[in-house]
Amino acid sequence: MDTIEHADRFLVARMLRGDEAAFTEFFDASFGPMVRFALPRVAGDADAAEEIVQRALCRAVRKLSNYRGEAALLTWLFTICRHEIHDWLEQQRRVPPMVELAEDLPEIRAALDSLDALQQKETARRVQLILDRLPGRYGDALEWKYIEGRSVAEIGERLGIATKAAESLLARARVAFRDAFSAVAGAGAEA
Amino acid sequence: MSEEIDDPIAELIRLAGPRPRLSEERMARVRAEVHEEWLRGVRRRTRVRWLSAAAIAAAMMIAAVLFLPRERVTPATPPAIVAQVQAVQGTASVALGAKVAVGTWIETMPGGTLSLDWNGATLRLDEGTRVRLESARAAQLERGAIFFAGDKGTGIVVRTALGDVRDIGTQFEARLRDETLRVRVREGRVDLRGEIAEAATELIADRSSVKKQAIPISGAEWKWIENAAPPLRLEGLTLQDALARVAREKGLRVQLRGVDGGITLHGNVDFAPDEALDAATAATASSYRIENDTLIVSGRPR
Repeated sequence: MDTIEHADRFLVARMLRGDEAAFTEFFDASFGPMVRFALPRVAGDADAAEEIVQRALCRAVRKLSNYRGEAALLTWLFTICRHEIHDWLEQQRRVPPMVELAEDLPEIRAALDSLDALQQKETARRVQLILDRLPGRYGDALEWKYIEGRSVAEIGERLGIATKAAESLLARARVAFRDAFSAVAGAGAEA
Repeated sequence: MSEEIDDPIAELIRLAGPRPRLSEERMARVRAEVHEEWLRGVRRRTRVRWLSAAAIAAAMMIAAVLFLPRERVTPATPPAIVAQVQAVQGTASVALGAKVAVGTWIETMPGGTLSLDWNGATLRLDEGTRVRLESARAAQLERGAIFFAGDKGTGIVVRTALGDVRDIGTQFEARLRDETLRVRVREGRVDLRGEIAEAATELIADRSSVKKQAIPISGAEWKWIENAAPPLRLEGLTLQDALARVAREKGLRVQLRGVDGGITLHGNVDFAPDEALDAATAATASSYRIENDTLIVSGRPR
């Protein structure tokens, strides 16, 4: 993780210098995960998610110099996003139908584990969360490969890298995904 | 073996299905807002940094004058001044009127442009450009685009990672982006790695090859150069001189039809090239149109 945070610090330093390519990298890497962080917390309301993510990202770029690299950039952004969701819900003066998610309340998660359908749904969401939190474009590459059925050459083209490099990126992405999933599933899954 | 281990991963990802997304339209909207916010921050920080740097530099100079023992102070030769800033649009690392010494790196931020008088010639920087003035005749382009306009025989060199651009009396633009160097010649000739480009041609170079092709010498792709131009004041200029200056900015020739080019213009207002053209033709009761890279100015029938 140290490498990720170092890369994040470097990215932020480039953004602070006004590097346009760094902004694009930042936005492309954070918009999707933040939307998926916000959407289920506002009951799938796309308008609300758009507003919240916009506010959170604007606040983040205003406070960029405060980012110290103590956590991954995405984790820092999720913290800001969580505040924005809270503020938005306050403004709406309404109780969200399903704001607290399983990962927010582990005790509820444990109670749900025996229910197969819910378990499968939750596993799917965990997989999506892991894809979002993998470094670089690993999550996108895996999704393009296994869900969209893209060839390695097409993935390379999308990422602006050679086919050989895309092949090696996919291999690294799979290892990262397996490690992250094992960590989330816990020791019980390995046994 | 590897297949057996990796298959369940593919299966798991397939079962999870595609991750939810917002539409492209929503993403573009958010991106524009966040980008604007980010740019505001960049501009603000850049201003503060330069002010701080200037304050520190001033404090150090005062301290040096007050506290350094006289006998230890050895007169150092200041670096030669080779350029002066004529115009700044948006944010740049040097201020309007600043004198630029040899060895100075000059930078423009996104949305910023700059115009320099470089040893009597014109050097302009497009947005997102970083250039170092190595001498009165050589500059190093690290990224972005520059435009050079000088008299015949200036012989300047623009060094880039993809080769040196040697001017043979000309107006040209050199743009370095994504491992590609594009040199567009408006007037005269340039040499890049032994390839010569004449007016209305461009050279496109990567690490292995240099290609040449024909281009227009005016139009939208050249517009940034005009936008970066220093203001033009008409006071005391003849109509002919004023039109020549405007036309040079736009890459056009001038043709007068039934109008006296010797009329002297008056007015102490700073104009952009288009505004100067409007003002000069209005003041001389003439009209203009642009055809085939020519600015045609005609007298109005009385």
